Amino acid sequence: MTQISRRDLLKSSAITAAGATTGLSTLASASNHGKHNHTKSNSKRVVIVGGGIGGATAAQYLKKMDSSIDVTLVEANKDYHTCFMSNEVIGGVRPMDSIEFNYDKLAEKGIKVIFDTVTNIDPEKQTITTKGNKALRYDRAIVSPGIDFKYDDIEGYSKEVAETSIPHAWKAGPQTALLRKQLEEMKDGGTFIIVTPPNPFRCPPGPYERASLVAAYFKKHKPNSKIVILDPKEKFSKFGLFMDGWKRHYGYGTDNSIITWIGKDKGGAVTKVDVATKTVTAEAGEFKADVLNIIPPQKAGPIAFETDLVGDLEWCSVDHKTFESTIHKNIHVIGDASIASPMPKSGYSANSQAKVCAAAIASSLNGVPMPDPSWVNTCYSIIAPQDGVSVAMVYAYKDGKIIKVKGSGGLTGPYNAEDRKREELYAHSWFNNITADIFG
Amino acid sequence: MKRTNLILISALFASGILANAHAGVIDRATMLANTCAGCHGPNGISNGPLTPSIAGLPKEYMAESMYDFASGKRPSTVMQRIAKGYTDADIKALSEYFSKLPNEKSLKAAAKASKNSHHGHNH
Repeated sequence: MTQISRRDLLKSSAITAAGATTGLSTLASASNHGKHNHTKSNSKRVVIVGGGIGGATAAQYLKKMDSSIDVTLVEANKDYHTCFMSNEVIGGVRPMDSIEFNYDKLAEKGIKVIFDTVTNIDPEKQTITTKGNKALRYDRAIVSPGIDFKYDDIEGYSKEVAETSIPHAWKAGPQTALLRKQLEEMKDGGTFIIVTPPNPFRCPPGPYERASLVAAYFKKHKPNSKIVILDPKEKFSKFGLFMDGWKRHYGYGTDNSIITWIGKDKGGAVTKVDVATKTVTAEAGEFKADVLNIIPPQKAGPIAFETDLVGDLEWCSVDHKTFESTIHKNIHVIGDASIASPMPKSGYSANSQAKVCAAAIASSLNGVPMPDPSWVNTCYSIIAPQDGVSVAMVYAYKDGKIIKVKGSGGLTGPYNAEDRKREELYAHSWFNNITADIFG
Repeated sequence: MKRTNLILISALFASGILANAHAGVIDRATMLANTCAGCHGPNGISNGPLTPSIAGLPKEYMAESMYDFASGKRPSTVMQRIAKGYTDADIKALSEYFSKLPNEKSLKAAAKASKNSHHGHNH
């Protein structure tokens, strides 16, 4: 036994001891018929790979639906920074620690949280192996690995470059802090360039909200500075709402506009970066930045490829009712890594999918039918202080597919100061509530 | 804060809300209600600043609100788009589900009672 696993073993008994005082785990272990039910034939072991929005939600809801399910969550990091609202950190209106969460509450509820990295999933033996030499048997696995970046698609860009000088800031945490620091240090009159990815990618309105919140920061603190968005797409999420908001707040369309957006038609697709000079090459020519943010093209997280959950694709094909992989039985994939179109790759989608997946697994392990699934997605974006907008949708299951419920959902309507003020507060309420749902 | 949360959880247990009588049996109402938590908070209790709690609302009021949001009779920003996504049966199930959850006031009272009894015990 390695030192790491001994330490982890001690930790997990500490968690059990702490849990016993809550009354919650007392009930959990009572229905577990003791702690050592690993060897029972009717075992209900679920191992979750990845403690992001999807994974942490699934863990919470599995326990809530059936406290006798043995839930293990394997996550590499002790802290999690939400990608959502990280644009407010980058814009300087929200402190970093407000988007930082941990797994203490999950452990208190009887979820076994292991800080380790999954190195292999064996779909035949139903075993998950970790870097710390753990072998975890599962009856059902949930893989929620999020996204990985296709750095190679932009010549000159790499993980190392992202970590040192040109952040993607598309996974929150140190990347968010690095981009914020660079913007703070940038001289007034500088140029901030955002290179956006092609579809599909995590948080479709995110790059444009980022531009908006940095524009608000420039307007107040560095009024001679400019933002250029280089985009390989002709249109983007909430296009009309952003364009309208940029005109009202940032002079969009005038000579003095803080924001310039260069879409596909105008040659916005970027192919190359010169790291030393922070110059990117797009079809439209070369653009030199003072602060450069490259959000690379994306694919499912590494473990999805290593386990061959992707097949010939770059994302994981799943059954739309249960989120079970169409390639490997008893492995479910949720969140950004899954193909759940028409649902977007968003935090709310991952949260909603995790609950449906938990219901599918809890039902199946107990031999009972699951009810018809239902999902919701609501994505807020803040265009300027007191100007929030959203896109919402209710989803149902029909003929083997997730479908948008006809007549539901859609975008925020035309500008109305009172409503926009409310939507910003709803965005902040959503943040407080969804994070309580996931990590609380 | 932590302590309050624990007390709240115990209170929820005492009221039988979180304790699932039939483990693993998830009904359609729970399935639907789970999707509300993202904006309105776990167990229908909102952490604010603006989105309201929906736990413990009278079922008639909640159903009427959903219909009025959908028709536009009651002005809204987000709910007019969400409310249109549900059938009459869904709205009935959701309204019943949330009407049975303890509201903030009763949770606070339960927490206070629990705190007081602990206090008395200490002396």
